[in-house]
Amino acid sequence: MHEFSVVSALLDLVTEDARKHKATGVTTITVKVGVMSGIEPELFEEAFHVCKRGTVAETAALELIRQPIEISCPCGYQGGIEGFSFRCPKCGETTIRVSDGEDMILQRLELELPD
Amino acid sequence: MDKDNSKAVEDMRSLLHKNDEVAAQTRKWLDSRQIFGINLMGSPGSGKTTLLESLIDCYQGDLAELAVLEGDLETNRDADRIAGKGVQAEQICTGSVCHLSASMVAEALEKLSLPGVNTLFIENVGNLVCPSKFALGTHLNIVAVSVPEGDDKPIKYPVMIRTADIVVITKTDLLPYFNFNLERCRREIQEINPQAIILETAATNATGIEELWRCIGERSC
Repeated sequence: MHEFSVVSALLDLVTEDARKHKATGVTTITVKVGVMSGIEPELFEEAFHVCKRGTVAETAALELIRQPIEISCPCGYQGGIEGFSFRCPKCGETTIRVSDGEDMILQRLELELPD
Repeated sequence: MDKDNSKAVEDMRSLLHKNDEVAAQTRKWLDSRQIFGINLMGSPGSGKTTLLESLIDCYQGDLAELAVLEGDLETNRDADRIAGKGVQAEQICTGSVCHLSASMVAEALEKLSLPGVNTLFIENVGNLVCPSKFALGTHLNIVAVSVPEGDDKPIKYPVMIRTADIVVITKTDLLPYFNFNLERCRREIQEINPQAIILETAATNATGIEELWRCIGERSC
């Protein structure tokens, strides 16, 4: 249950961005959550609604985008994998590069600015 | 076009950005002192502390070259066990936090006396989920999976297995008493993390410990 740690890190980044743009509030926060990022979206959302109180993101909506694993293979294959098998589904190569699906990224923020 | 009083901002930073920054500083700090850092992870009861004790017992060099940070929610018991073996150890009590973070480690490192140390073990909080994504600044990740936990743990906790450089299957002396399919366990670890080295140990009779030291040595060069 490390979702609280991650949400509090998210809110730090959001607060930093809001301050930088002199925003008065945040309406939407979009986070890309990799399927192998170790984050449970439901728990993450729960933790977000608890932690956002009293921050600049108090009334913000959270949008989570689930990102599947994507790899690129020396054979030219780019795309997903089968289950948890981290090899190229086309040629079987295991020295692949995982290009997506293992991270949690703050993609986008919708900020409210003063009138 | 944004509405008058709203603005869309692309950020694209990792949520673990701040932790990763501190971890990168710790890595530099360790590198500058030529200390090889190891993050040891695994479930509670997977045998992490016993593995450390066994590594200490089999160490060929001077014990003053080793240091250990012990992560637990409560108590100094593990640090006391390591200190009892003659190796300096510092306990990090996380309270309710289920994983170590880079800043907890950075703070605890200041309490160790590191001149002469060449290998630092950090035993993470017993947990097969949460510690996996929090970089500590170490050079090597070891994940312990024990026979009594069952052979299905790697496939059930793939995120942790993905982070491992070495997966140690511990307590193999108990294989006769458990329905543990070693071959399937190894195969599933390989599917999830084809680059991981898989070792088997039994700390009670030091099986596999020398090989583990050899693997650590190869990685630290």
